Amino acid sequence: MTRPLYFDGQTAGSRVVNVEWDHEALIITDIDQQIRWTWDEVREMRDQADDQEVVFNRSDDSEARLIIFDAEAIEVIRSKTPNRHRIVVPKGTARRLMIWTTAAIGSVLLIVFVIIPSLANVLTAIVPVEREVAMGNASMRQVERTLLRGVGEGFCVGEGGTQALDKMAARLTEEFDSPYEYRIRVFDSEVANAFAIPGGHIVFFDGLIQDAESPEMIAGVLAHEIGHVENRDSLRLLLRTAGSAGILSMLVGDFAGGALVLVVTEQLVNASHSQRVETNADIFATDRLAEAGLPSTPFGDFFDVMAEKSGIGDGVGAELLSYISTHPDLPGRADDARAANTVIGDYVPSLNEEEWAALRNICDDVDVKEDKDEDEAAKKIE
Amino acid sequence: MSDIDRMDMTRMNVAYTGEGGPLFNLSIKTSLLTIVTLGIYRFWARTRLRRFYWSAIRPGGDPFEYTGTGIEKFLGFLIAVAFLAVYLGLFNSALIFFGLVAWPFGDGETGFDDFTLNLMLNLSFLAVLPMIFYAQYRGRRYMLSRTRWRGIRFGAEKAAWGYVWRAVGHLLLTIVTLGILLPRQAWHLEKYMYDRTWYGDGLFEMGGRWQDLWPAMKHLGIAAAILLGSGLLLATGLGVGIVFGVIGIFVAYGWFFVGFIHFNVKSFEIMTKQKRLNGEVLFVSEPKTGKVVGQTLLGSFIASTLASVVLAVIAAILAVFARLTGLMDQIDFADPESFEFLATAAGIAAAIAMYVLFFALFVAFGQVFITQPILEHYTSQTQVINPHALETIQQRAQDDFAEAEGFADALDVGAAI
Repeated sequence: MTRPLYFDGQTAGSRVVNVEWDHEALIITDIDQQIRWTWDEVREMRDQADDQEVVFNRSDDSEARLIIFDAEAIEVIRSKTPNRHRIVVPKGTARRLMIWTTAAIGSVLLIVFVIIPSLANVLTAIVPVEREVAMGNASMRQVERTLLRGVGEGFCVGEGGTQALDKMAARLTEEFDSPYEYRIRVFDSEVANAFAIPGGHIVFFDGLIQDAESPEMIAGVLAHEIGHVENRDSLRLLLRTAGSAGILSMLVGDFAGGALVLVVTEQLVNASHSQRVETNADIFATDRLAEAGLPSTPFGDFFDVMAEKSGIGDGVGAELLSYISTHPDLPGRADDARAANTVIGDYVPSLNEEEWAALRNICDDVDVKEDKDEDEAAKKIE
Repeated sequence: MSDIDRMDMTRMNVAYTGEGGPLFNLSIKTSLLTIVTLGIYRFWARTRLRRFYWSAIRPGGDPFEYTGTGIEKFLGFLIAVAFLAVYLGLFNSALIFFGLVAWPFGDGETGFDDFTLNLMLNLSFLAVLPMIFYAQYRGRRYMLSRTRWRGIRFGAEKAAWGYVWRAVGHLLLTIVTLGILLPRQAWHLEKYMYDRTWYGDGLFEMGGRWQDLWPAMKHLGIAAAILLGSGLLLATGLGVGIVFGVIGIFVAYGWFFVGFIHFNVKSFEIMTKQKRLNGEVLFVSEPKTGKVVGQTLLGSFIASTLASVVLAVIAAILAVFARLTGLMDQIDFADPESFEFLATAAGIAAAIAMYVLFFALFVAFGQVFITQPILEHYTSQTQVINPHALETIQQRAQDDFAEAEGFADALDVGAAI
């Protein structure tokens, strides 16, 4: 039988000792001394790898250790020490825990929801236009390379189509002085979408143009994208996301499901912001349409066309979606756009019959090669 | 144990007594608690696993002991988050703004374009980098201060910022030299830490020179040579050259994987021999790269297979249960809308539960089939030379610090266990 080992917490030497007990205490007998640990101060180490032995210590900070190997002795000592697993938390821990929980949550909320957004607003406003254009050009090329078909590839150049879009943009921006030079292009894809990149790049997917029933529908979308560029929305979003990089992921750690919690949280944080951004771009669009003497009713109707196509209806699903979606709900946008209409009766269309036909056929010259993967990729773009 | 041979230069073995069963039970229990508490229990989980591992490692038969607590780790994490949120938010914003106004974007002609753009978008990494090294040093100091052997405390000096600027400098040098000075970085940082590490009143010291680590670079060198050769073959443009070049790149990839493990294992062996405690206690450790690589691959395979099998069995039991109890009859198939919603919600819930459960099982099996066997291998290959000199080592004062290893936990750069 291996005899108990005692470490006095003063030196690293081990001593073989005798262990006895009475009704009050555990008695450790060494060659030259006798140590008493009263039962209520004996503690047992938990989660130990070896169950053939037990390490006991004293509730003070003396660091003295007693290792018992004899199963019977362990049994007896355990029966006399109901406190052996009690953890004494340092005084004031609860108060410190409360203070620091508040500080941690407060600091994250303040930074993510107040400081970074205001900082992003301030900094966005002072980035020089030529720097924004340089960054935008680099981003546009990257998008073309990685998400589309390569730089300058896959864009439609059908006769008169580009001129039609330029004419539309000129009419929409006539009334105000834009610092940007717009480059509007149509990408050969069946996906119904359009996006803007800082500095004046706007790309329509041909699918969107094919879904439109009149030039005014396209004019509304174009004005909306111009709104994103003029409001520097992408730049602001970049500053916001880069600013909060690593802050939310700090909270979840590497536990199972942490990534999931993170994705949902970030989506919730971003959704309300980008819904506001989209609404602002819609308002910008209806303002420009009004200035240009164009009705915004077709713009509103176009949202209904999109809604019908995407199959999103009312109900519980749509309700839930509104919390996580980056865009406001389509029926609401449609109503708002129609309500903003100022043109009643006749108006000069943004494109004449010929120009509209040219825009509709802008992709006809290109060999239409259907590539599912690219269309999938294109869907991911805003 | 007690009858240590009193002769000089005796050797003391380090035993490992952990077993798979108890470790699995502890690991799966703490993983599930972590999930249920949405991650908050992870500080206690980590603490309990450390208690287990520490107690399994026994130089001369006497177990190590981990005295850290979950509550101090959690508190430390909160302190770190409160500070880091502000630090990261402000630095990230400043760096990205700097990038926007001053960064040299490419001209669109080459891939350099994408590279510079992506680099600019990830400049915020510069804000985190010093904090990562700071967290590593402080985390190590915390762990040492909560480690006991024979009732005597370990400790490290307060020298985190000295570590930070050295680590950043060495890292830059290693990057600039394409990894050639990796041994210099590894050696100097290890020496910095060990020259400030204590066991009781005994100080560790590291001797030797960084060039001693060159042999550890052997397989990384071979991998680099294969990669270079493959590149040259590809550049020839000949059919045969391209075939062998592509094969070579795959071989180089695998060789790099082994090469990094070999570097860690071999440099551990070399640097262990360079360490002394109190000038008179020496160490030797000779782990084998083959064993570590083999156990990593085999253990990953076993852990993922077992996790999948257990998950499949649970899913099958649930399916049978649902059928037997008539749970399926509860759904009104006549009402498509309610059915659709119910099916979607149940499907999503089941998918999340399965994903999380798989993760927990994989982590638990990973502890049993990867972490523990490798730790056991390292331990069994280690010896302490002249151990009786340890007996005169005296206790040192407790090193209390409030934020524990909170920074390491927040930045997720903690130790492997």
